[in-house]
Amino acid sequence: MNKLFLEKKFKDYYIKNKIDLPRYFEKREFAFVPITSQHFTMQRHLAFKSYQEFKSYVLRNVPAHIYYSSAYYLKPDAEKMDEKGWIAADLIFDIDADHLPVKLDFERSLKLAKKELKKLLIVLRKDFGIKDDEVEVYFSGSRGYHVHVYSEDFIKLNSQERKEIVDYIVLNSPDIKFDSNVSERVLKYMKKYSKSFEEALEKLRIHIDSPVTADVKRLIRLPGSLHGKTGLKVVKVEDVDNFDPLTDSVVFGEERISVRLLSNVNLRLKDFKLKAKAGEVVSVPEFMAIFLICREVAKF
Amino acid sequence: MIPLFPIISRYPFLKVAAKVFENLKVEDEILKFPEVLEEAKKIVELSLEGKKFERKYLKVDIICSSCDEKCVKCRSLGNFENCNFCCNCFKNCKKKLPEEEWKFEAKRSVLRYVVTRSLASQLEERERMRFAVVEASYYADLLKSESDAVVKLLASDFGLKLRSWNTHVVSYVRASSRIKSPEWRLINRKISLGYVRTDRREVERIIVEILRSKLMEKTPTLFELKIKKKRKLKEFEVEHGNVEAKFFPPCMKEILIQLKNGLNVSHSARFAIASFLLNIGMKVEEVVEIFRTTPDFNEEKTRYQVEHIAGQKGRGVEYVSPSCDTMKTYQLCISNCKVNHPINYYRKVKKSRKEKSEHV
Repeated sequence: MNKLFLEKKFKDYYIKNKIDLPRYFEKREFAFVPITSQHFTMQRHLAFKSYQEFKSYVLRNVPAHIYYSSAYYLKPDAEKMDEKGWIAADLIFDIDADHLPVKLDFERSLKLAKKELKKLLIVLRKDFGIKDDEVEVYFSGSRGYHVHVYSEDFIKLNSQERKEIVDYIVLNSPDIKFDSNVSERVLKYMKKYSKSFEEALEKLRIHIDSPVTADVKRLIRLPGSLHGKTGLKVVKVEDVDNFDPLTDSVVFGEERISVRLLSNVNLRLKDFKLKAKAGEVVSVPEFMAIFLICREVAKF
Repeated sequence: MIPLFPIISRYPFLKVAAKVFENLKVEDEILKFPEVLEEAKKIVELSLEGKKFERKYLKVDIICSSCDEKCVKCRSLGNFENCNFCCNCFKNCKKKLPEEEWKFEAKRSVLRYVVTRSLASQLEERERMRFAVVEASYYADLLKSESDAVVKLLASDFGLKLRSWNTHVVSYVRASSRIKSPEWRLINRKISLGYVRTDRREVERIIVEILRSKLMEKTPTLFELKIKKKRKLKEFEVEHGNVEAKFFPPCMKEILIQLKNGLNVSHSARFAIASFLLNIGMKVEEVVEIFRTTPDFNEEKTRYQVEHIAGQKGRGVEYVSPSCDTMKTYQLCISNCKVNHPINYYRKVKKSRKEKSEHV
């Protein structure tokens, strides 16, 4: 019943909305997890030549999750990875609240993730010289942000080379005896706040999920698709400061629906605040109901 | 093209050389240059012994640098920074130059290079690595004496983006990700708007690193020539007072054999062997000698580092050599000795052998 409801709602979304497929989508691998799948089985190694082809696939097997490869391949639908023929891959950064050093509630951890995002964007612009029109930022639909870099210079980097960039971003054991940007920043911070070297590193490091950036064959959540664990949209962040993930990613309607809570909930989506205990039956807007059902904290 | 010929005669591996001589029929041309085969063979054979083969080349610099003729409107004219090798500037060149003689030398050099690569491709990976190290270091020496314009021309040919001598971060990590020394790590660098602060010497190193990995790649076989190889790598024999190499664990023996044979040994392997030898009682001076056979040997640097490991510099404590776990992480472990530390292997084996010989 819950799955059928979600399937219907997700399908409606994909019928009514056009999804802008990523650049060179014909050269990328797509992967899906259908809503009806029992154990998160992923259907991989798919490729599409047109938007129509993609759309009809999605409507036939309504997905809870849609991914595409950061890599461009000669044969994106080859079953074996080494037969795909790697050409290049977007440089991806994943800022996930789960990888932050503190554990907070949904809303506050997203605020923290945004702070990291802003730190990252400054470094990408100032140090790496990446121009604003070569970067796109997406809310992941759940606990963080994805940063996609399309610059022709960067997409050719291999994994080992990307690790150099990762080390730079996460401040992996810098040696401050060298005259470098990092030692300059670390020493300045230590002096200004009279903190230790380790404290300065912890404060200045940007918490990205390192393996994602180093991986040149990663599957990334498709912009414009819905996150099956929240029902929120993977939405482009145009204005970082004014972006509110818990409003701007909501796609479903306001119509009231009654659901029974399976655990305590304290949450805001758009302007709707819900604070209730497990076992209660609450009447909430559709978008909130879908969020709760996706998270498996409520059912009809 | 003409002003390029002397450069090609020195650096026949350039992409632009392939463009200039795109219709070269190696099998036919080689008949006109019989000495090329022998030279190529010599280059490969000597490289396996860690020796460079000195070759003849045209010593002329790019004449554009000293020419006032504005033959074409181009930002890269004369300095070759980020040159895309459209070669339009050369098409209009009106200088009276010994074209035929230069072209002949350039062609000879390209042929020799093609044959050398083809021969090297028939080597085992380890030997090919030695070939690449020795050849790259030959070109590294040559580069030092070049004008700025030539170094920038090579950089452009390798697709390196430069702004004066600063290197674009993407070009930079292509080389730095292969160099295992802290001052090359991106995190220890000055970097601004996509450009890493580097100087000419470092740009040369970047070119050489990329060249080295290029020389490691295999090319199609053109000739089956018998390469003379010493069948077995020289074994390492050392008796220094109490230190006996025959009791060394396999991992350390392997590193020593590689060092003795002039292979380029990784930084972590160098640290491992140096700390191991010091730990078991060898003197700094003796350990420095071990490194003398490395292709990039620098006595002063080596002594400093060995002294540092010995605790005579810096923090004043002798470093303990890496444990078996660490050796595995560095992919230096090559055997299953059932000990947890290379030093323990040495002590155990030495003790048991000594006891045996005493009892016989």
